[in-house]
Amino acid sequence: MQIVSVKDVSKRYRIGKPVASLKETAVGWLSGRAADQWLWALRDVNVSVSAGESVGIIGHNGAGKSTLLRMLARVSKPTTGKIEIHGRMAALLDLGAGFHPDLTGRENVFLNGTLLGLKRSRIRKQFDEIVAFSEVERFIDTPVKHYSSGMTLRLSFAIAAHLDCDVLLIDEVLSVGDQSFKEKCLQRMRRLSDQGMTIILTSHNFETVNTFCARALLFHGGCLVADGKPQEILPLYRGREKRPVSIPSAASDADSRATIVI
Amino acid sequence: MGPCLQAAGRRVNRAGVIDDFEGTAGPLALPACPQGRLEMIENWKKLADAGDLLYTWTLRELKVRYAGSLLGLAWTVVYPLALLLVSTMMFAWFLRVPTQGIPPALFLYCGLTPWLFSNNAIQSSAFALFANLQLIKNASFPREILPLATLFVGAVDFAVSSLLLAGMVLYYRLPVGITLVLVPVLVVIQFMLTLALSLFVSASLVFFRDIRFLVPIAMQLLMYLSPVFYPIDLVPKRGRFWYLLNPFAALIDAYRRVILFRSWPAWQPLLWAAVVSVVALVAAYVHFKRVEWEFADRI
Repeated sequence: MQIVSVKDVSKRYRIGKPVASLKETAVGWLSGRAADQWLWALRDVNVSVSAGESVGIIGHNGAGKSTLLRMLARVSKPTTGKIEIHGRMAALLDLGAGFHPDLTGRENVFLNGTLLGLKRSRIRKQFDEIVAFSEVERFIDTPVKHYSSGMTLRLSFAIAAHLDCDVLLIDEVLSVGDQSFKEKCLQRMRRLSDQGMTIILTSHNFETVNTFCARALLFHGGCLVADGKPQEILPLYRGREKRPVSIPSAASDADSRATIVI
Repeated sequence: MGPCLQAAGRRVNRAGVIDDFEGTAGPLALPACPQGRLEMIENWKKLADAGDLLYTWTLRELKVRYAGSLLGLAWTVVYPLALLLVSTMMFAWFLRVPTQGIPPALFLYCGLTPWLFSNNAIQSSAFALFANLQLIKNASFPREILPLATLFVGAVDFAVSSLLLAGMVLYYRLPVGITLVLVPVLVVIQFMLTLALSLFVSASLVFFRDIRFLVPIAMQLLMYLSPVFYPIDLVPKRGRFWYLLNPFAALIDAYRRVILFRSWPAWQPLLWAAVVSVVALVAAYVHFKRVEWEFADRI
């Protein structure tokens, strides 16, 4: 059964000055020109993922991995094309997103959990389990500002690992923790995956993808360039290492399809 | 290389799509974003589902606000009282604003309480999205939760402030009447109006940083154009019609009449305020949902 489908998806961002002042906008409108430049971060991506698959998205910086994941997570909307996810989706895009330094670990678990779409009653039910997994029991009533980055990582991953969802999206998160916690996370993800959860993660670390995913998607310069078993993708990925992605700018490649200037 | 070559082959098609965008290059314009009625119902469902988040986020705002401050929650009481003291000194003792037989402190506080709610809610919700862009970039939840939570925090202050007002009414042994039943209606209208402005201002601040300087000025202007510190009788009769087009003026005058004077409010301005509030709320919400996808991309 197809659980995630990405059809002809492209995404462009405005580049240059991100925020115009009121004056600039007014001047822009009056003079009838818009000085915006656009960068296509993703072009014509087509992917479909079946239920229970674990997929790794790899690629170098600027390849479009995170852009795709953000759109899957419904944080951002495709400029063109369509993304469909059938079932409950949860995303771990940034560690401790929504953690407030002045609040305790306990308060932050509820905050982060509800941000990820959990009900408070459910968090209460799983609270002990989450805390046990994160190994920060002793500090659960300490404000998070006193936590080490490893502790924050563990607590926020623990919440995500106890989400009740059909599709779990994880962005570059595992690269922060120490080896033993990373093992623990991978183990947990494997168990979730065995239970039928679809897991999609991004990484620029090939090993993570290789050990965990049965399928890898290689992105380069905003395009999906290869789709297959991690082992098959590896040579392609290594081959591209020598050619770093240059972010296309309006000036340098007028004929590049990756940039459109309006 | 397959998909890339494919993309190159579609250049003409793409160019066609790009052409569609040319007319909407303004910063508030969204590329093709259909907002059908179905989508609005969907939005409502999502918001209803996020009730727990709204509660948790409101709690967070309340806790964070007083974290590390010495007086903590006591500020909720101290703040309106301090303002009351200042305004009584200014308007009752120095300027001697006529208060129509009502103790000046009570007269002023009755206007100050509702005004402070709207003013504080709008001014702090202006930053509700702006201060949390990192979160917006990394989690998907109904964005209106953030300004809504600021409104709820304001509502908590409003409740405390209202208790003080009730205490003052008792202290001065002011008789109250049946007209008090109208207070909840006034509160609902005021909530809608305040939420409408909060949604609009918070979304605008993401796109135009200038808003942060404009909002305090606009609120200041609005305050003096509302009978917060003076009775509405001081407004010249000729200009009264225009004056009452400001829904806050109609609301604050109505609060005073039903609480302090046991009389019914002027219905026409109140009805106008209600209509303005409903229309503004619908418009602000539709606008908010239309531009909310741009928040995450604009950082």
